[in-house]
Amino acid sequence: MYGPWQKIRLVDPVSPRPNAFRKQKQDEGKSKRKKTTVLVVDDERLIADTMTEILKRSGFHALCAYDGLSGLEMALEITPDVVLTDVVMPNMNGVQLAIAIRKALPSVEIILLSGQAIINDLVERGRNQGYSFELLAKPIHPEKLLRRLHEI
Amino acid sequence: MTREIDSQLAGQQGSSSAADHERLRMEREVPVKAPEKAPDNVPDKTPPDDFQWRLAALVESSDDAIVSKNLDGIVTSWNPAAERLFGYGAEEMIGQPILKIIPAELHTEESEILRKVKAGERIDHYETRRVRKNGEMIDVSLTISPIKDQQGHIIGSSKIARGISQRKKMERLLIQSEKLAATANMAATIAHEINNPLDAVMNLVYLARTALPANSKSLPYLLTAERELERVAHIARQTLGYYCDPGPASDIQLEQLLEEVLGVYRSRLLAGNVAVDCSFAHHRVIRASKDELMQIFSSLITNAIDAMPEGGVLNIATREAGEEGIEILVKDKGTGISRENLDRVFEPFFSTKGKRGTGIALWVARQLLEKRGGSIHLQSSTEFPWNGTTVSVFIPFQT
Repeated sequence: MYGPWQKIRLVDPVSPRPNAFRKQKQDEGKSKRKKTTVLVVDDERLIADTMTEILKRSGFHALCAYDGLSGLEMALEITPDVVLTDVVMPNMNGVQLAIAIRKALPSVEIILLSGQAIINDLVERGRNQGYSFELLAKPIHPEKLLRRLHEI
Repeated sequence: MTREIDSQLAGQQGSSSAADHERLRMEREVPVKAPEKAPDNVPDKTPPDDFQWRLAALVESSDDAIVSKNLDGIVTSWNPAAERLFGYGAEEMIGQPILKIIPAELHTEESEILRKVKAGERIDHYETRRVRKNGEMIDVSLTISPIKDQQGHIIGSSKIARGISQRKKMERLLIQSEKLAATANMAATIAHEINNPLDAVMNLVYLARTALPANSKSLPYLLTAERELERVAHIARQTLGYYCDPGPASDIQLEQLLEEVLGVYRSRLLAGNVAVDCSFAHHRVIRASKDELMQIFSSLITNAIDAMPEGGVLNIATREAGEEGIEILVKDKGTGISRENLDRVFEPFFSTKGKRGTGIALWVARQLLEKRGGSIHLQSSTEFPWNGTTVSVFIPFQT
C-alpha cells in the first residue's frame, strides 16, 4: 500500500513560525493532556461530517465548517491547532482561507486537501504570493490522515 | 510542352479568353529570366517565341509542381518543382505512368481522376497522398484540369501539386493539443467528481469498521472494501492525475517502490496468470518524485499484463548504468508491438489496445522521465519466439 501524499512543505517567508514555539505548545498540550483541536473545512458536507466524526473518535477535538468564510470565522474564534481544508470551495477557496489564517494566526498548522488536479492553479497562486502549504490528495485513507495529524 | 501549357491555362481559366489575355499581358510585364537552355523535357524543338518561352519560364520557376500527362496517365511534362517535390527528375518520369508516384492503395484514385478529366471536369484542391522517390509519403493538394488541343478535344491533363505535409503536420499538432486540453479539462472535472465521493465512502467504511467489535463477522468485508477503495483511488490518481503537481523529490529505494507497485497489481497479475521475476542488482537510493515513478511503473506493468492475455512471465530488473543513474528493464513475453506501431507508441492518444487504451500512459511516462533528465526506450518483436516487449527506463541518481 502506499499513500497519496503530495507534500508541498515549504517555509512561509512572510510569517515564519519559530519551531521552538510550536514545540513548546506541543509539550504544553501533552503535559496537560489537552486535546488537539482540528477544524475541518469542506463544502462536501458528507466529507466534513465523517472526517470530524473520525477525528472525534480518535481523541481529537474536532469541529467543522462548510465553506471558506465560515471556516475563517470559526478559526478566528476558537484558534484551532490544525486546520484541514478542502481547496475548491464557495465563499473563499481553501488557499485564500489558509492565507487569511496564516496571517492572523501564524501558529496554526494548515493542511490542504484536494480531489481536483486543477487546484494546483490555486496553490500556485498562493505560492506566488509567498505562501506555501502542505497539500494532500483526496481520497486519503483516514488512517493515513490520522497518522499525519498525530505527528503534529 | 508550350502548347500543352497554353491549353492548360485555357483549360484552367475556362472560356474567359479576354481575361486570360489581359492577365497574360500583365504577366509579360513581370521580368522573367529566360532559361539558359531549353528544358530537356520540351518535345517541340522549334524555338519558342517570346510569349511562349515566358510561359515556359513561369512553369519552370513555379514553386508548385506542374505536370502534364496524356489520357493514358503517361507523364508528358515535369517541371523542376515536381522534381523537388517528388524526388524524380524529368528524365525519370516523362514517358512513365503517373502511377509511379501514387501509393498502391490509392491507384484506384487515378482511374477516377482520368474519368473526370475525360469528361472535361476540373478537380480543385484535392487533398491526397503521394509517394516520393525515396519511399516517403507526402501530403499534397492537387488541382487537375483537362488539356485540350486546338480543336477542343481533350488530349490529356495538367496537374498542379502543392506539398502540404507541413500544413498537415501543423493541423495534426493542433488537433492533438486541442484533444489534450479537452482531456485535461475532463480529467480535472472527473477527478473532482470521483475523488470527493470516494473520500466520503472511505471515511464511512472506516467509521463502520472501527465501530464493529473485534470479533464481528462483518469485519473482513469492510477491510476488503477499504482495500478495494484504495485500488480505485490509485487508478483514479493514475488516470486522472497525470498533470497534477508531482510533489517534491525524495530519497527512494527503487526495489521497494517497484514492490509497492506490484502489490497494487497483485490481483490482476494473479488473475492474468502472470508470474513476476524480479532481479534487483542495484540498491542505491535515488532522488525522485515518488508519485511520478509510481505512475511510470504502473503504466509499464499494466501494459505488460495487457500484452500477455494468455499469461506469462514479467521480468523486472534493475542495474546501475555507470555513475550517472540506474536502468530498469521491464520485459514481457507478450504479443509484441508491430514495427509500424513501434514508432508511434509515445505519441499522445495512440494506443494498440483499441477502446481499452487511452493512449496517454507511455506519452506521459516519457514526459515525466525527460523532464527529470531520464529516458525511456522500447524494443519489441511480434515474431515467435522473440515476441515480447522490453522497456528500458533510465533514471539519473539526481533528478
